[in-house]
Amino acid sequence: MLKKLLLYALLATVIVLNTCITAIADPAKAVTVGIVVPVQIDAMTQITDAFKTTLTTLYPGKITYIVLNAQGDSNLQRSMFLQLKAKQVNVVVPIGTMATQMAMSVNQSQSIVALAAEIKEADRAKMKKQNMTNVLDEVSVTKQLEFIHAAMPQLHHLTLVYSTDDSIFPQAKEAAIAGKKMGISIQPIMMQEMPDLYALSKHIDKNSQAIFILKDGKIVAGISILIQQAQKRGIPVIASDDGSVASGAAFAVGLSETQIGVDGASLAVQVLNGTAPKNIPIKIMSNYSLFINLPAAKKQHLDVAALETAAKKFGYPVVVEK
Amino acid sequence: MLIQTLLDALQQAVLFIPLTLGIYLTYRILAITDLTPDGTFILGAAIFAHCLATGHSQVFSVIFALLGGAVAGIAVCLLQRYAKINSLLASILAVFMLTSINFGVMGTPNINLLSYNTYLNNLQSSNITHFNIFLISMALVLTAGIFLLINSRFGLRLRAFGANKTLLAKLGKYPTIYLAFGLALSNMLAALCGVFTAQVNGYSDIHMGMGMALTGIGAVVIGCKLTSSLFLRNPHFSLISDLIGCFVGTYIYFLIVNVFLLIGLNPIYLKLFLGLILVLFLASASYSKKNYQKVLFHD
Repeated sequence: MLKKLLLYALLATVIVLNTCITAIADPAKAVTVGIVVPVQIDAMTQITDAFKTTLTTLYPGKITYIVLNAQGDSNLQRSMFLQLKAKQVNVVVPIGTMATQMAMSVNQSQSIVALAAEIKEADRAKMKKQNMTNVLDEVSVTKQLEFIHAAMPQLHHLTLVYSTDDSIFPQAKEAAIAGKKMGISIQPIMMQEMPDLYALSKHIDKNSQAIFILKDGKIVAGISILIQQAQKRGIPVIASDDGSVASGAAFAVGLSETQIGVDGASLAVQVLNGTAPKNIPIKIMSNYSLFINLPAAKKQHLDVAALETAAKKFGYPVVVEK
Repeated sequence: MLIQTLLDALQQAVLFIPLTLGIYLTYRILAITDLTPDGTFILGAAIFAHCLATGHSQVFSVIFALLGGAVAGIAVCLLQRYAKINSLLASILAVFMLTSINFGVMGTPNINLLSYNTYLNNLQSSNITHFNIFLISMALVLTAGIFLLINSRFGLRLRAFGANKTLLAKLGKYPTIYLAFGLALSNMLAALCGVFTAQVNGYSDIHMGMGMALTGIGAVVIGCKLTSSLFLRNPHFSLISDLIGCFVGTYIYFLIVNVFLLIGLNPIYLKLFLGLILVLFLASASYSKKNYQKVLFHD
């Protein structure tokens, strides 16, 4: 009897020890992260790549990524979120406001780390389910215009081309108010559908001294149309993200798409380590940079030295594309 | 996992049924191609979200949204009859104009509904079984309603409009009334689908209706061909066969999307494969019908 008891005790000790050793040797479990990209554009690829690279570095366990591209189809996007729900992925990562809203409706029992969604702390507080945190990449148009004004003091007429995207609309209003204060008259050109951009670009005022675009996926997709117009008129295209500068805009003051992915990964790792998303403050990005495309700036008759001086004054790091 | 996929597809299909039924009314009964649901789907969601955001009750918001859809349908009828614009072109123009109207209604490109206690969103988060039962019941009620309408004397005239409107006029009936009614009801159903979708997805957005009408037409064509040619083998008009077809077509569409995602097909090629499978369905249905006619001829 005693022998049997000793044997059972030994067996139990071995099992407990084995469990402890396994836990110590591999504290982080294997996880799955589902990323939903609403539409495939360069900016989304940059965000996704940076997110995956950073999270793989930060999280010690094995991560399986499921990256799904909805191609702008909301039915398809909903199917994707349902699949991520069925697969019980550890973190759902939607990019953009609409995708995040849908994720919050469908994936109510899962943790959500949103990237570039127009959802602030106050918006989250109003929601019934707060199973999300977010990287808010709202660019202050006022700050951008302050920089443009400092770098190009002779600029008084600016054309703002923007789409009807949810995050862009209030920024366009903000630009009009800020421009007025700085003595810059802004010609607003709103694009509702992509095919309209070519016709609209013909209506840029003759006295416009620059074309300004916001962090606006739809306009960025058609940036070559605006660049052609700008080169014809000898005026620069000023953008709000590094991707647009790589595509041919003269310069941009804004946030790096890569940084959105990096910041998102730092939130995701907290979630994977057990922190509830609602307890993780929404990350508001504020690290602006100046991105310059040297060949484009030359073609669009821009004084690069003045830009660099202004960047120094504002304390923005300069990223030059040659 | 497979059962979950089947259920997910079913849930999406029943959510989409009002729009499919609306398109069935115009495409099969009135025999016109109307793409206006692309715009009225958003209009329904936009009016609902705007009314809710301005403090109206959910019931009123839904009623206003339905009225909005009906008015848009009547406007398309007027474009067709009085401006003498072809039905397809009139609907394209209507979608074009509705883009601005939808924007005007919402005042902003996106209204977040997650902070409102919308009925379907609440149901979805509290009890998924009740949510599914509600959607299925709603789909059945709407299908039964359409069945009764088309089987009525008025419904017969609607069918007559699609089959031979000259004869309808010669019988002393005013065809425009039937066209207006059909378009109003069709777009009202599209608006209802928009309201449901906005509640379930948690937002209303001016870009949320892209391609909805074409998906609906695809579902109607495929479903009706399949049920009439493969299963019921009846070459004549059969309302039951058609209504089952509407559901089958919608379900097949969402099932294919979900199965492709499940097996991990690269989403870039998803629409290509979806199209190819639909071509396969249509071709097999068509061949099956030809064989049936051959058998009839020999008999």
